[in-house]
Amino acid sequence: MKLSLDRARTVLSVVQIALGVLGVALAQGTSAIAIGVAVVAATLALVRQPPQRDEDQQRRANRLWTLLVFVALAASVARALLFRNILEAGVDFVLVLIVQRLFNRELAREHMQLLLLGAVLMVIGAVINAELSYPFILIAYLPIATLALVLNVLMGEAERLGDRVAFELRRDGPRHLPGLARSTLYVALAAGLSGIFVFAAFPRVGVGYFLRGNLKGETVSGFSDSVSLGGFGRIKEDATVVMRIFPTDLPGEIEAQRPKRLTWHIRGSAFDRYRNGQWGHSSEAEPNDIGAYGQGIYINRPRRIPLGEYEMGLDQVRPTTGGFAADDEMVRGKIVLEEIGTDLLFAPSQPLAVRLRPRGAMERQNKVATQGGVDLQMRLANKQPGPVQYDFTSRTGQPTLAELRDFEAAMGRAARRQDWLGPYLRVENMGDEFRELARELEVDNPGQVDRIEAVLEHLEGYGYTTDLQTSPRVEAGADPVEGFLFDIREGHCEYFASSMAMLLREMNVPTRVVNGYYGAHYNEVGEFYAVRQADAHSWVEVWIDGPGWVTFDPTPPAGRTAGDGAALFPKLAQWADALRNAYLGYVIDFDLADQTNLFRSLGLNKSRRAFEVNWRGVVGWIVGLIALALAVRWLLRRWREGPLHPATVELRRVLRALAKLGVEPAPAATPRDVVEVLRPDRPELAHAVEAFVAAYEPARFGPAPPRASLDDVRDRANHAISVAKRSS
Amino acid sequence: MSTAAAAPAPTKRPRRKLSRRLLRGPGGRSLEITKAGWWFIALTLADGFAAINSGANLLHVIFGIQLGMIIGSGVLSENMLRRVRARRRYVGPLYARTTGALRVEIENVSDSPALSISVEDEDADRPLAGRGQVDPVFRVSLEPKRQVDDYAQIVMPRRGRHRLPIAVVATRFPFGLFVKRRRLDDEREVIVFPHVEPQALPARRASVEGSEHESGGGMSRAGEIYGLRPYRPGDGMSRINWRATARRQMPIVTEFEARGEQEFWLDLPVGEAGEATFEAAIEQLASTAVAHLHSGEASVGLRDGQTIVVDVERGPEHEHRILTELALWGLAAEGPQEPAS
Repeated sequence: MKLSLDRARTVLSVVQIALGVLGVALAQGTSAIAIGVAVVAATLALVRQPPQRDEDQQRRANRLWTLLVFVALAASVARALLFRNILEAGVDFVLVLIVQRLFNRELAREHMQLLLLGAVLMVIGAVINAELSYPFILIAYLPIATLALVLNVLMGEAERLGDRVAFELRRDGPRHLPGLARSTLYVALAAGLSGIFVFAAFPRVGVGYFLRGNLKGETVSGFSDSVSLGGFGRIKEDATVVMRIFPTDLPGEIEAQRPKRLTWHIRGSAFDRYRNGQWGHSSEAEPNDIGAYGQGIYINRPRRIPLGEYEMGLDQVRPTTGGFAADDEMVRGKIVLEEIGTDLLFAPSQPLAVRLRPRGAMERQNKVATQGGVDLQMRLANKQPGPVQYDFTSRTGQPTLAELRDFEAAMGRAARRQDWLGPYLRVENMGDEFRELARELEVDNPGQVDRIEAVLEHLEGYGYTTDLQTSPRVEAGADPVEGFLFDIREGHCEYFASSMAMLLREMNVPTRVVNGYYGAHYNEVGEFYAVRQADAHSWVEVWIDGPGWVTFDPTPPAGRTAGDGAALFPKLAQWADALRNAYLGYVIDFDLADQTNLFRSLGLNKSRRAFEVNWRGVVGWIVGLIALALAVRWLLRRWREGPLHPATVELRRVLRALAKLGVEPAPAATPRDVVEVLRPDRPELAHAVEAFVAAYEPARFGPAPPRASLDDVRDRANHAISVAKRSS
Repeated sequence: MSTAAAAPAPTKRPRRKLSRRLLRGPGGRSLEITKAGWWFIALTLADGFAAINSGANLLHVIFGIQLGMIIGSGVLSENMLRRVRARRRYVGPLYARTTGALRVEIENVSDSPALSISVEDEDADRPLAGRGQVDPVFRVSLEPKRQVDDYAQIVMPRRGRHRLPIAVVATRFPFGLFVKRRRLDDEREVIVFPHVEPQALPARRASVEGSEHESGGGMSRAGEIYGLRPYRPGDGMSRINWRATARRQMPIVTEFEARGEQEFWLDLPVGEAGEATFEAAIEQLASTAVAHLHSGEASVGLRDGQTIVVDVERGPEHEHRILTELALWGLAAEGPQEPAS
């Protein structure tokens, strides 16, 4: 059954709308509920039979729809003003308009409005969707919307020019549909090239009232000011890349090996207060000392840690002493942090300095907060939506247990009595069984380091799982840590870290819990390390007099890397992520500097006063583009002509061989005419060509030839060509 | 029998859309931005503003695509118009307020298909009273190097000498953002005959309603030669006796004896063109003349008082002559009878 133009137009209109909605929805531009309601309403509009209404009924129906639109508009305005939710309110209003138009789609005018609404959604998507999904949606949208426009023009002509034209369109339209689709594809191709040209050549003079990427990213649990135990367990299957690390200065052995899996603890948030399964910040938490040094450089100076003198500049940040062997083990690099709904900056182990590397007007508004920070957390003040790019310098070296014992011996017990450590020793609402366990572990372990070892050893007997259960004790009001330690005896990193932290506190060892990511995966395609949602991790920092806060990770090694299998197709995920990274780098973050470089590479250079043209470069590009255009044209022609019959291919080969002999048959000459031309002077060749023609004609013009016949045609063609070569 | 229709008073034509008035080119070309086109341009400008303002790269891409679609729309529609040659030819006589036919020839002179082409009146959306309207003709696709003939209906409202409505070949291809038109250069005048109603004639009548007179004898024809006389306006060319004309150096016609058929003289009415009664009388005369001539048993002539305007005669050519005279009777001698556009 042929698709009528009207039906094709409706289908294409709906598909282009669906693509527009998808582009917006993937950037969280609207809620799932709104989309669900719109889909149900749109489906109803599409499947229902248009009611037969007289003029009055139609007028009343139109009034009702108009009223609905006004109510929706008023609700959207109120929502935008009251809840500051401009984007969602706007998108939802567009969805209402779409549904309204779908219910009242009769004339070309209504379909044109649907197409314009689809275009509006695509524009909104272009603003808020910085994901790799958008270009694919755009590539699908362009030919579909273009064909819908073309069909709508034809249907509009039928409405305008009367019943006779409408009848002719119904009769002839389907026959022309493939040709129209082909023409449309060319137009869409040209429009797409125009888009690329404007993208590359249009000067970037943005002043930044609009946004670069997602208006709001998906918030990852664990990085807000207050987190409940259990959040990380739910994201261990999520392979979404949240961070890309481009190391520039790795420790020697890592640099040499380029391991596929880094084992850094990438620090994000840290907490001092724990109560009833919830970590948070107390007002007494250790304040940060972050200094801004210009050029976007911020130095994080941990208090009370003898790291020595800092020098200006990111590359020069180097603690002079740490008092342990690995104190100079540093790592530097660049991080691209995706929008994950937090203003935290992440960096491996002990972040010492960061330098923001903004890629646009919006990112330039980001500043590192120098006031109000606690527990070595680095946060952005005035965080703008979208990804953040920054350089980092971190110390990854950690003291060994033996070195820690030396520190302990050297410092004695005095430091632990300092007042500021109070919050890191606080234990609340724990039961007797917990206190009993702590006492058991500290017996025979008078030193801090001994107690740390005892707790680590104790927790080795616990299992790792992300499938959390709640024990009756916890249901009765006990702390989840007690449920983990005494009932369930298995859990994920947050339970291990919280248990260790609280047990040590009970033993008078200051601790805090740190949330972040464990390590990163090397992407061979993009040559960077990717950190996924599934790598989210929780560990413990213990205060040791001397070196200060030292990282300990009580989670079993299998648990730390439990998210490594999150990507179903790891190789494919690598390619997808590398592609996305390239897309962000070359498309989303394409700026004036990139543009200048592009023009320079094309041979166009703007000096102070003059515009210099490197003609060799320009001509090279022009020749290349012309060659590309010719190739595309040739391909399109081939496509339009369709595949040649195999027998025709053989005939062309024979004719080419004859042309080399100077035999050029007239345009209308049949193969048999060619034989007659050859017969007087080249009887042997004429005989060979005649034999070929005898096989060619039935194969080409008879019923579908069997494989053997085509083989015979090819053999005879080869024979004729060889005879032609001999006779030359 | 119809009552004579009063010719509608010429009305002032509404103004063309601003864009169409401004965007005119040589050779009767014009470009009109449609409503959807204005919306699309507004969306493009808004997108361009947002792109420039924000520096958002994807907005630049969308902006470029929209610009490409606008430019591509103009180029493609121009291409389509260039590919097509079209003519409108009228087939047979045109009678006032009666549907006539025009043959519309559309030819694709290029090597590529011509898509979404219409041949229509230039001002189909705002017809001018008196000029009539021609049905549009539309082709979804016209194969390369191919001509198709189509037929369009035309209704002219008044008798007289008129120009056909100005025809254009037009396209909204590909997106309906613009309408591009090119005037066809086959504009010419046509004579629109008075409206004719079929009439039932009495078998034999002595006279009809005072304006129609039956006569016999002296002015007969088609029998034996009766004699020669000088040519009078209205005499048929076939009656000119060329030998006698050459001899006497003045146009001479031959008169014939009666052969038994009826002859009818129709008296032209007195009045002013456009008056209802005058136009009704003209139409009545035209209907009567056509009925008699089609009966095949009568000859018909026209006279204005004692002045013979068209001598009695019969046959299709004579019918044409009678109707032409009636079409122009009472109207200005030169130029089309229509209000200035």
